[in-house]
Order: sequence, then C-alpha cells, then structure tokens
Amino acid sequence: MNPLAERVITCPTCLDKFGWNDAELLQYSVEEGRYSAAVWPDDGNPDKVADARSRWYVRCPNPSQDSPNHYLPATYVDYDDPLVIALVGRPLSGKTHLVVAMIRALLAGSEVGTTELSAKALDYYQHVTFKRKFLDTFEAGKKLPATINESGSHLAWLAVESGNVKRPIVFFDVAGEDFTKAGENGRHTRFLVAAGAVLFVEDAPHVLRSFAESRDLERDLSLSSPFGASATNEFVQEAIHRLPDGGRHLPAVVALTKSDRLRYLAPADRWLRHDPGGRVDPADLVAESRDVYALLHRANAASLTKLYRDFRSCTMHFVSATGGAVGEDNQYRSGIRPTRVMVPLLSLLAMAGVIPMATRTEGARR
Amino acid sequence: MRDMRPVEQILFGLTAQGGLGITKASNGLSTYQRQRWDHRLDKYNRLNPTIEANGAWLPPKAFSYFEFESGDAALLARFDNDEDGRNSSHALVGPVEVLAQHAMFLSHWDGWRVNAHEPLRIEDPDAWHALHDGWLDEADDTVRRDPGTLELLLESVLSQESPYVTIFGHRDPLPFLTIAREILDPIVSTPGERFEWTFSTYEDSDTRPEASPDKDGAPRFWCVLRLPESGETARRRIGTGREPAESSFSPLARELAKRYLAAPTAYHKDVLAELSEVRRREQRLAHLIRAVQAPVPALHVVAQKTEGLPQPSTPDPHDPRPRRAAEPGIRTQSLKAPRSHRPGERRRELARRLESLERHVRLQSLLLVAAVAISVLMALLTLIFWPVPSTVQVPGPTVTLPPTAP
Repeated sequence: MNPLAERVITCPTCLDKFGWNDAELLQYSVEEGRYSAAVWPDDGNPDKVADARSRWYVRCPNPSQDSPNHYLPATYVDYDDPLVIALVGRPLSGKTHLVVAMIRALLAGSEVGTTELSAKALDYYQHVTFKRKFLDTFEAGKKLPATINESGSHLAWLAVESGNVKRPIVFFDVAGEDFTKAGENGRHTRFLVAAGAVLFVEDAPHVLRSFAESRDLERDLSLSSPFGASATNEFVQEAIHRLPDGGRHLPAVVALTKSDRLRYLAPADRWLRHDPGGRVDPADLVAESRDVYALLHRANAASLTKLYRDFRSCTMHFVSATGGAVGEDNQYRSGIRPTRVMVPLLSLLAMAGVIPMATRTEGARR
Repeated sequence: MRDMRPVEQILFGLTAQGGLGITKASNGLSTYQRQRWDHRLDKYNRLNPTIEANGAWLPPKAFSYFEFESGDAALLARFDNDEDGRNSSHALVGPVEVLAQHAMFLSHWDGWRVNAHEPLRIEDPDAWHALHDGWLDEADDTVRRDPGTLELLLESVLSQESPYVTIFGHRDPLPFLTIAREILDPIVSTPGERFEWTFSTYEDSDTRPEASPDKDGAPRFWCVLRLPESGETARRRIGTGREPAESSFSPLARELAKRYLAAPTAYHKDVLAELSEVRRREQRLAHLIRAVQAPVPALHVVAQKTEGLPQPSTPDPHDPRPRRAAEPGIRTQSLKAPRSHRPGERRRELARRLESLERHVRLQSLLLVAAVAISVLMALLTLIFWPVPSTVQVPGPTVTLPPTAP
C-alpha cells in the first residue's frame, strides 16, 4: 500500500484537486497512442517494479469533468505539489527558445553552481517528444517550431531536487496570441490560475527599436507601432488580469530576450559577459535588475517597469537564448550560445523556495 | 430548405498587433463572423514541422476541411512561408452544402493566396466543378502506384461505424482520400445520412486535444508524417510500415478498389444501381460482403461487365430512383454535377481501342498478303504447269469433185 495513497494532489492540466489513487496503473503504447492496464514484472523484483513505475500513469479523474482524458505519471505522487511556471509575453518574443535553453541547461546540470539543483524528466514519454521536437532541434542549431495553440497542454515538466526539496516544475508556454484571444473560453490560458511563478518575456528590439535588425522590421509588423516601446503590451496585461489577485504575491522575473543585440550597449554588455558561475548572488540580482529597469525606463517601456513595481518579488535580467539571430534558412549559422538563461530561472526558483532561502530574500525587489 | 449562403474568404498571417490573426477577409463577413471564424480555426491554422532524423519537414501547402455542427464548413489551406514561426493560411468558409463537394478538388485552384496581404479572388463556387476532372486524373495516377494504401483506407472506413482515422507516413495523402471518397461515398452516404469527408492532409501529432473526435469540427481523416511518442488518441492509426490485420471487410475493400481502378466512370453508376434498393449503411455493407463471398459473386459479374471497353455511364432518364438532389438532408451528392467520362479515362479507352484496331488491321494485312501471295503462286504454277495443247493434224478438206462430162 502506498503511504501517499490518500494524498490530495492538484492536477496541473485540469487544475482539479483529488485524492491520489493508483489502484489502476496504466502503461502507454506508442504504437496505438493509448493507455492500458500496466503489466507488472513477473518476478515482482522491486527494482524492476520501480523502473516500470517510472513509465506508468494514473488517469486523472478530473472531478469537474471539464477536460478531455489526461494522465499523470505514477511517480507524480512522490513529489510535493508542482511549481507551475507561466511564460507570458508577446508573440515572437522568444519564449519557447528561452524555456528550451533553460530546460537544456537544467537537465545538463550546468550553470547550477552551488545550488545542488538536479533535474530529470518526470513524464518519460512526453519527454521523448519534447526532446525530439525541441531539445534535439536546438542542439542542431535550428530554429524551434512555433508554439501551437493547445488548451491545457504544458510544454514540459521536470522533477527537481535540491536538498530536501523534491518538486515537479511544470512549464506552460502558449502562443503569445492566446493571451488576447478568448478561444475555448480562455482555456488556453487557464494555467495562469494555477501559476506559482511568472516568467515575463520581452524582446530587446521591442524595447529599443534601433536595435532591431532589418529582418525583424520586415516580418514583425508590431515593431512598426508608432508608440515604440511605450506601446501597450496587451499580452502582458491580459495575462495579469487572469492571474488571481493580479498575481502580485507570486515570484516573477522579467527576461529581456534577444539581448545579444545590445552587446555593444552599456550596461547590457557588461551583464552579458558576466558569468554568475551558477551562484544566485543577491547583490548581482539587485544590480542587474536596477540596470534593466533603467534601460526600460529610458525607453519608456512602462508596461514592463510597472511589473517591477507591482509584483512583490521581482527581478529583471538580460538574456539571450541563442546568442544571435537566426539566418534566412532558419539555421543559427554561427552556432547557438545561450547567455545567462539560467539566471532568471534560478532567481525564480529561489523566490519560490525551491532552492535555499538564504539566496532569495535579498535579491528580489521587496 | 437551408438558406444558401455564399462562400466567403479569410486570410491569416502576421498582424500589426503582433502574432497570427486575420489580415484580410471578404466583404460578406461581419466583424462578429470574422472573430468567430478566427476562434474556430486558430487552433488549426499553424503549420508545425515534423522533426525527422535528417531535420524538420513541412509540406509546401496543406489542406484541412472542417464541418461544424452549425452547418458551417471551412476549407483551410496553409502555406509553408514561415515568417518567424508564423505561416500564412487562406480559408474558404461557407455552408456545408457548397463546400463539401469541392473540398478535395481545390488543391490546384489559382485563387489561393500565399501572401496574406494579397487581394482576394472572388469566384462563383460553380466554377470549381471545372477543377474536379483534372484532380481526379492526378489522384488516379497516384493511387494506381500504391493501391495497398487505398485498400487500407477503404477497410478502415468500412470497418468502423463512425471512423476517425490517423493516416501516417504519407507526404501527400490527398489523392488517396479523394479516391477513397469516390469509391465509398456511394456506399457510406445513404439517403438521409451523409458521410462527412472531413480531413487534414498534414498535422504534426494526432494526440493534440484538437484531434479528438469529441471536438466540434475535428476532421475524420487526420494525416501525420510520423506518430508522436506520447499522448492519447481515440483515432485508429493506419499507415506505412504497419501490417494491417485482415478483417471481414478486407476482401470487400480489395474488391471495391479493383473495380474502381478497372473502370472509374462505370463504378459509380454500377454501385448505385446495385444498392438502389438497399437504404441503410449496414445493410449495404452486408449486401456487398455477401456478394464478395458468394461462389458466383454478383460483384464479379458486374466487374466483368466493365472489362474491356467500358460502357458510358450516362444517367438513365427512366431510373425510378429519386434524384438525390431532391432529397432532404442529402447535401454532398445532391449538388454534385453528374460526372461524365474524364479526359484521362477517355485517353485510356481510346488507347485500348486503337490497340485493338491496330491488331485487327495487322491481322487483316497479314491475311491479305498471304492471300495475294497464294494467288500469285497459283498464277505462276498455272502458267508453268499449264499443259501445252497437242498439235492436231487437221485433215485437209477433201473435195470431191463431181465427175465432169467427157
């Protein structure tokens, strides 16, 4: 009998709470795309059972009956309630590239420094799809596919451990357009209701239009707004409206993506060359947030500076998921060099209590 | 009688507000209708690549046809003109009664707009009938090269009461869907119950929520290049590299494919005639299965009739069957113009006729040459061996003179 059998858990897909019951374990068939009763290893060898269990599932009972069938990994109950990280930003701001670069670094264990943070895939089969579609494409130096509009589907979930903390992290990444569309009665963005942390993404060309490349201007018509950076970021506004109480109690970071375009602009250049060495240094977080805020303020990016004032715990960062712009052939010809992608994630995890408290309180704006 | 609304058009692409949205729409659509169509189609109008071992793959264009419970339909063409992760697309929206009959035949329509900011070409849907024969010929040729896939598709439709199918492994599945429709629609669309031939020729996964048969508008036929490694699907998966299980419908699927490919034009008329008295779908299937299993199968007899030079399938004015157009609830077939001989088939028939004629001429020539040779030989032999007439000594005339007087 599983001692956690009576635990009440929250499903990250339908957001329902229910008593965990793994009496009916299921295994997945890739060929049929269906779940069927799990077949236990013949000899009941505990090691084999544990290995098999890592690929078994439990059907979410979805008490509200408002979602199609969905399944949770059988090991889901071994961890604390998940931390749902919501990515929010305009279309084409680089949300997917950023989160894939973060997950890649997290799984590789690089750039985690002294935090003793480790991560592994929680849903074996979903991770196989994620790896093929995103991680392998990223490694191959190619542009990632756009995010498709899907209701209730998270991009990836990982199980992270740091000291005594064992917690799933669920990354929700939806197309930017979904924040302003009422499709499926807002179900595409319902994950915001369960968000435990928010990662706001804005790209440098939208803040400083003079740093946009000709290709950006040709293809992204929103860069031609007469208001420039002071244009209303309706995508961020709509997301905040969906967050309970405006999300002010949630840890939040603002990542200024495509900051490689600012590599000759002070003080962005200094931060891009700064190697944090995996440390979550409160002084660094404050200093970087100050510099990003100053740059946003100078550019009249009021919708972003407001985030820093409104959210009780918030840091701001220069990041570049790829280190350069993609070529006409959708390849990163000079290679992919993610820069500072782990800094905002570590800051977020520190503020959310996943990594040690000692590093979180001083860095964030409080 | 339903109000026959016109077919309207919508272009989707990158908008000035940012992200994918409506860039242009025909004047017949109100703001509310535009928003409604945007909400309906936005989960389907992305063209996401399939990641293969040797890189990402996308079709240059993909077509999806949706029918909604409200009676609305949409034919969506998506184009691989990736603009920073956002492809453009062009939708024809209108009543099911109009779009259903053309949905599979518009891949070569020159009104499609790849550039989401180009002017629209407004056209009377009746003009699209002209595209049917050309596309059918092209589809015929493709399917003849791979009849196994066609049989698989036929079996999957025949063996399920309400089929929702994933077809995987084909980069260009539309020809197979077209011919499957030609073969099966006279059987599975019954008076009063039309079969919806809804489809999407390219998707990256069949486990997305939008692929679920429970979703209003989810197409019956959902094509992916490769199967995803995760997620649940309620669809039956068929495709390359998977040995199909032999079912009780497999022989019928093979027989129908054989009959159609032998004489595409005659097929439609023959099957309709054969099933004229059988109204319900399951009864029709039972009838056809019995015919296939019978020792002297009726189907075989019918098929034999069509061998050689096919008889033209002209509509019979004395046919007692009610015209389908007059039947309430019948939509697809009712508006479809009766198909005459298609140019490709005519060409094939003509070739067969010419070959036959040529054989006849060659044989007759040979016979003529032989006859002439025999005649010449006979003449020669006659000349050579003609007996020389023997000379007859003709006795000279004997003249007896009367004695003369001394």
